[in-house]
Amino acid sequence: MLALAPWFYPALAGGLGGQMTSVLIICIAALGLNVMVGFTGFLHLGIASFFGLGGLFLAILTVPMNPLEIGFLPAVFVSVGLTAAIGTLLGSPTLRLRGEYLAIVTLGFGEVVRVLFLNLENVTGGTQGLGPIPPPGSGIFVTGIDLGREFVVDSRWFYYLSLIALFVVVLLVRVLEKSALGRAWIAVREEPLAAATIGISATKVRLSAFTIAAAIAGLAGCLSVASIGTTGDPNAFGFNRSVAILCAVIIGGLGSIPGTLVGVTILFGFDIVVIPSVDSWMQRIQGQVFDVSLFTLGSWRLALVGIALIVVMRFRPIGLIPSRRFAAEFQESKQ
Amino acid sequence: MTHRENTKVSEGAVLSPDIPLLSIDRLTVQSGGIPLIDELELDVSAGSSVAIIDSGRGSKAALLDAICGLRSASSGSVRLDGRRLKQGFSAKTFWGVLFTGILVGLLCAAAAVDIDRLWLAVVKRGLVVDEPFTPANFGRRLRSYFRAELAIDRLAGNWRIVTADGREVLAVRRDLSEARELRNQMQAAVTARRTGPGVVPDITDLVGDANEPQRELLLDETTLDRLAAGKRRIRFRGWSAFICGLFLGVGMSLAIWQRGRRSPEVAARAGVARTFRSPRNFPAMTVFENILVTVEQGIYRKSSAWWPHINKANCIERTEELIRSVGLIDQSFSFASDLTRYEQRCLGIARGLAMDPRILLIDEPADGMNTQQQHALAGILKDVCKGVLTLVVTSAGNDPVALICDRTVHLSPH
Repeated sequence: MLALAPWFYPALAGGLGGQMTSVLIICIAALGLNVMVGFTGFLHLGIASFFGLGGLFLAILTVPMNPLEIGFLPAVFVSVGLTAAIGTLLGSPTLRLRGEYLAIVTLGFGEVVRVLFLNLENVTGGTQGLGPIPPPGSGIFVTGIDLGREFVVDSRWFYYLSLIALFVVVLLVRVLEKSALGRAWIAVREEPLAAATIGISATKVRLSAFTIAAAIAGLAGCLSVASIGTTGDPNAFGFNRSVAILCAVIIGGLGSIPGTLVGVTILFGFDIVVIPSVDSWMQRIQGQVFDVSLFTLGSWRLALVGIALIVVMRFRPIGLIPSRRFAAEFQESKQ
Repeated sequence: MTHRENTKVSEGAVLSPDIPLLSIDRLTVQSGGIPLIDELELDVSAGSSVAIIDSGRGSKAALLDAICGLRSASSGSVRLDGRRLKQGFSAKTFWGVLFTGILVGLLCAAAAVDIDRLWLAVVKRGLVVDEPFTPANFGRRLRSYFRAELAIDRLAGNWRIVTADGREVLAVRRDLSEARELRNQMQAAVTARRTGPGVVPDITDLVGDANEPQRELLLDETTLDRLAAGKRRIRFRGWSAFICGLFLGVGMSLAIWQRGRRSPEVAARAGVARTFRSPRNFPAMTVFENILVTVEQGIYRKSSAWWPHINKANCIERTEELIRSVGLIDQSFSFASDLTRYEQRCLGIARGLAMDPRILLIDEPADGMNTQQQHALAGILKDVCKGVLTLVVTSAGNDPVALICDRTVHLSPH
């Protein structure tokens, strides 16, 4: 349905398409986070830093002010690989820590990455970020049409690209969940002691989840900076973004793929898509009636999100679409 | 039981007829200074079964924990087939430790020589003066940074002669060729200063000609000294940070390795399986998944391949066989948390068996069961394990499960 939407709704070619694209991209990052938080049950507060790292690597590899300028697709592969490697490096000493300490480590890492982004000005471009990032397919001509130009002009191209990436990631996460590795993740989450006695090395298993989470977030970061065209302000990759994605995963339902997608769509869709359009509509109405704009939803948006979070957690603490397992676990803890 | 296990036990028996499968030597386990187990000696030969009887709670669990590596003993040793259940220092460990050390060292060195300035000198400056980005150029620039050579940079249409890290501007020229010439002469002067008077400098150090009559270089003595010391400074920084990082990385990874030597994974890999008194299954997984994950891990553990191939059909078949053997076939797809206590215990035993172990430690199977259930459990253990698998069962008294064992050991005779 989402794939067909642009055909029927031409507005997606413009600003709305861009907004939908960013929601899809955050869906990808949230699925990565879900691997870590949902499947292995470890609190991860620095997902946005991996998101930012993926984007930064892509920018370094592709912007014209750097000499490398490899194409979009190889750059995506290299950046995802590098982000995964950094995840492994960070994870291998720290994943032996107990849950709460790991949360602190990821939180600290997020801040370190943000500060590095700000201060390594020659590498990252500091607060201005790196840009312009050439759109995917620039320089490739299909029947006389420059694909790169099409990507810039018509945001449906990015919409589709993100949709395909999201589809691939959903498939990947689903396959992983049903694999032997996925079962080992869940075993470690459920009963670490018993998992250790059947020979599962908790560190290795968590490390794999951490690396996969980093790689998926890195992919999302690549798509994000490519669709915006610049890495932008590094502060956008800070703690707030990490927590917002975590909230979306929790609202949707931990460990559940459709839940994660729904959670992100509600939380970020509300934030990125609904509020701007409602505001512009309200401004028009109010302009006609009072000549001035008295009220914007945008200024209340954080309060609304907060209230929504409280309501969901009060009435449906396992999330909107909980996974079967979490529902069982929740039942047990209630008894 | 399966054919596989049959051959395995007989193999062990053939290889070491004198050495018992499990031998515990003067084992002492303490908890908060109070000895739970005091100088215990116990040998269990392959294929036999032992019941360990003690009315107290802590000692039996402590013994099993000490065997399977969940708790470290304060003295004494546990051997399986004559080998201690401890991870050795293998070649893999060595390379892992070395790799970590070098990696941490390189990261420290990168931080110490200022990676941001390095990037500026190696990547960005080449673009400014329109040099193509080739590996040779890259190498030359990298070398030049670590020799603290002077460089040319552009700002607002002017060419500046700067130190390698771009921190200090020595002169500004309008024209690139003029700037190049001046830079070469300055570099020659700095190099001559560094190598001392009368010494013919290393040819690779020279970019300009030191013997050429020098123009006014606008470099006073102190500046010249500072620039000449640049090479030593940056190399000292880089190497000292690298060596510190190397020690840090090696130390850290050795510490991690040391802590993980005596872990449940090592014991599990050697073929020790255990069940717990409180069942400790995976509650939010079905019975089927509970056993399947254990079967899969058993295969991973036995395989030495980096990415072992798992035959899914075989795993599923073995899982079903195990479920049938403990009589949980009707509950196959219900969550482990929904089972009764007896069923949970059966599942625990099935998971222990699923590891395809050499020795199975069962912690108080009779605890909390009624007589009928105790007999049922004894029946299962008798059918499934006895004579094939080495069995260590703990118990609070002479219950039916303890009675099926070949011999009984009382932990505290007093």
